[in-house]
Amino acid sequence: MRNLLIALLASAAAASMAILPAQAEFPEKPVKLIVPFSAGGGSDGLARAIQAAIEKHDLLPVPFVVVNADGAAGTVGTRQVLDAEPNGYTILQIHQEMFAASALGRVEYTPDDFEPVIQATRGCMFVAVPESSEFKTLEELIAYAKQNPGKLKQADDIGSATHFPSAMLMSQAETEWTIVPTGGTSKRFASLKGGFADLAFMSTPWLERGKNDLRPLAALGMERFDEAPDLPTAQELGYDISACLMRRYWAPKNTPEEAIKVIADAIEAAIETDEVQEYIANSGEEAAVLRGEELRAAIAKDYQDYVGVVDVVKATSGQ
Amino acid sequence: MSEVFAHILTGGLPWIVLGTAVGIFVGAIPGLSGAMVISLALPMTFFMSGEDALLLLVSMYIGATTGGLISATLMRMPGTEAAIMTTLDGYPMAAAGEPARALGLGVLASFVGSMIAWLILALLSPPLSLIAVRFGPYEIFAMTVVALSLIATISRGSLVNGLLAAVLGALVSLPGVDPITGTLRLTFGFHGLDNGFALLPVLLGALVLSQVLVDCGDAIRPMSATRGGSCVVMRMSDLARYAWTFLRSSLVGTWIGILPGVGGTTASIAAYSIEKAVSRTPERFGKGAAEGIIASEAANNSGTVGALVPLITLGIPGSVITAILLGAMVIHNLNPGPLLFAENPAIAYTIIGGVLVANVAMLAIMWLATPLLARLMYVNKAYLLPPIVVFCFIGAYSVSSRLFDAGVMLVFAALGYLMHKAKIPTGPFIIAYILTPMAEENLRSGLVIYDGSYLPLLTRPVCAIFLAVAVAFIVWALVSELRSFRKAAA
Repeated sequence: MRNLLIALLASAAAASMAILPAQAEFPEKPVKLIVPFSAGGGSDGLARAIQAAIEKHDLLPVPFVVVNADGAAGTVGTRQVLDAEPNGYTILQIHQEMFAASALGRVEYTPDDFEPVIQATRGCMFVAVPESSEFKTLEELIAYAKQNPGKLKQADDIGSATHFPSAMLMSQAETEWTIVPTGGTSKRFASLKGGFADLAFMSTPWLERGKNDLRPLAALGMERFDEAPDLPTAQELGYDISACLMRRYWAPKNTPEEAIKVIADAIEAAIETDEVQEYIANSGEEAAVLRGEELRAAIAKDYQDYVGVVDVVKATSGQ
Repeated sequence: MSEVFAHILTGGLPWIVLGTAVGIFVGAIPGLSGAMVISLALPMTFFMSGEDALLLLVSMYIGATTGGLISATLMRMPGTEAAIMTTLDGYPMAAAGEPARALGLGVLASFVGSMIAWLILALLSPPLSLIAVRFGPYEIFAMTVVALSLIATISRGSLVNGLLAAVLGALVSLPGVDPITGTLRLTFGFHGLDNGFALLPVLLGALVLSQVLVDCGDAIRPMSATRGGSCVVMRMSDLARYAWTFLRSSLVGTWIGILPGVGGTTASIAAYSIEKAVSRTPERFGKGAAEGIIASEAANNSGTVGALVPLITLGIPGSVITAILLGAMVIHNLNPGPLLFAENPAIAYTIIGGVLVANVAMLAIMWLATPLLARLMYVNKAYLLPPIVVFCFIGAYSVSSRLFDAGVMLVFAALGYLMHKAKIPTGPFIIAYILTPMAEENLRSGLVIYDGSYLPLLTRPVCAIFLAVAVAFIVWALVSELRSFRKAAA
């Protein structure tokens, strides 16, 4: 009996020795990706596409699980990652909605409280007015806004990741207009079509979808859109702004470098698969992979831009 | 187009039957919702064709709305949000020994409501959606005020208790993110409350778990099956007898469903209250009136189908589930939006045809299942309640993947139980909780659009009519309350 026990203990010890080196190998249990928005939206769509690619092509040795933690403009899910163990097993996917909440002081955390993992995609917007609008160009729109401050109505979401670039446009044009709380792009479309708003920032799929109802005035990307080569960018028209949702992955502060690298490698490989490329094209966005120092620099600039227009955002936040 | 329908009836049929059955099942179980199962099914549809994916998801959507009536009728627990009003008359009728008839009426109403809405979807989608987008924030606000004023109708006979419950419900809806400015309010720095009291935990607590507590309080004893009740599930004569109720409720439901952001729940609240208001015997409502069951179920199903109108004509989702359907269309590169009918009519007709077949599948499944389900009424509740409690916890947890919401559910279970003991109705509580944020958001949005002016509420004709109706309802409820009070005193 005693011998048996010793034998068991010995084998247990041996087994644990065998496991020890493996323990250093990340990952050894499922990785949880928190999407702080509900199922069916753009954030969820990308996360699910990447998850499917990781599973299909065995890009991680463990399951990659997507968890929707919707609520309070993404802050409920973001907090779950903020409070998670920094071991690489809990990561977050969010766009600049996080910067908006921080810049406005709605939350006490900032982007510095997270480790950036990788940037996946970029989805740029354009300035749209209803087809029946009197404004044919961005200059006409802004000239009107300057003569009638506060009169134009923009369908948007107050304090959201599109309100900030709107504020940047207002501050560069040295005027202001009113932000009407409306919702996502399809609700903005309804508002424009119903005659309740004068302009809105719309995502690129609406160039095609809205071609009978909307008139695009300016592209809000760095370059002209492939889908609309004749549409000038705001930059060309003299406004140094862009409005692009950057979908980025984050880990809790102090997550080990190796773990971040493993996950970033898997996500980058997933983005390169045909399936994810197809999804990104379908959703009207583009792959825009950034990692490491480049990513940190991009985030720092992005966040600074947000903080820079907080006063304008607050001034146009209604009551 | 014939190819589209041929596909629906061949390759697509299994998906429709599967989707409808799964939808009915999750709809019937409090705690599992249509939105939940559709978001779970969404990633699985990546491997299907876009058409089949839509057929599966749309069928789940239709099934889930119908399934809610089963638990609402047999256990007084709404299986889905949209079945709240069904509990009011479905359960009393079932408890009076006629569960099969109560279920049968609900199924028939669901089918008729869906079919009327389907006709409208197939024939009138484009013009109606154009009218719907002209419905701005003030119009929706005024309509919500009408629905809120109907609380007074529903709580006739105990107006004070009803209003008390409604005020409580309105207050509970306030904490969380301010719908207009996006800032946090009334959370007292406590991050658990950042998202406010979410719908599912409040609903599961106040209406389902509280009922579990009530059931546990009563000595658990299966209802005796010897009380009989007819075996007849559906009578065609009901169609003629309640023809106006079917028609009114389905039309009200379809229209409310079409409006963006207003769904099947509001539809059934409005239709139920209207039927009670026009009834010559309103006192039967709440005690097992057939019209009550019909109004609620015809309206919530027609609202469900109606919500597809703006989705397929303009790409505007009016509810959580239609937003997921929109996401599915994007993932499958079906490019939803105002051009869907013009550029991809096959997809639009797939949805329209799928709804029709799913309606028929729903009727067939429910018809076969009703006699079996009715016997649940006589099953010892000791076997039914524990799994329901488990599903409630799963449902509450799923909202934001955190345990806090399960705690919220328990608090509201206690509140619902206390309200039951104090004879304060939970109906007005939950109705006010659902409608108040809708009213607030649209009123304040309208104030931004009209530069702070309330005047358009009176000068825009639709707003003015709705508000006049609301005032009339309130005055009428007060007068009749006063009259019955005098009668009692005399």
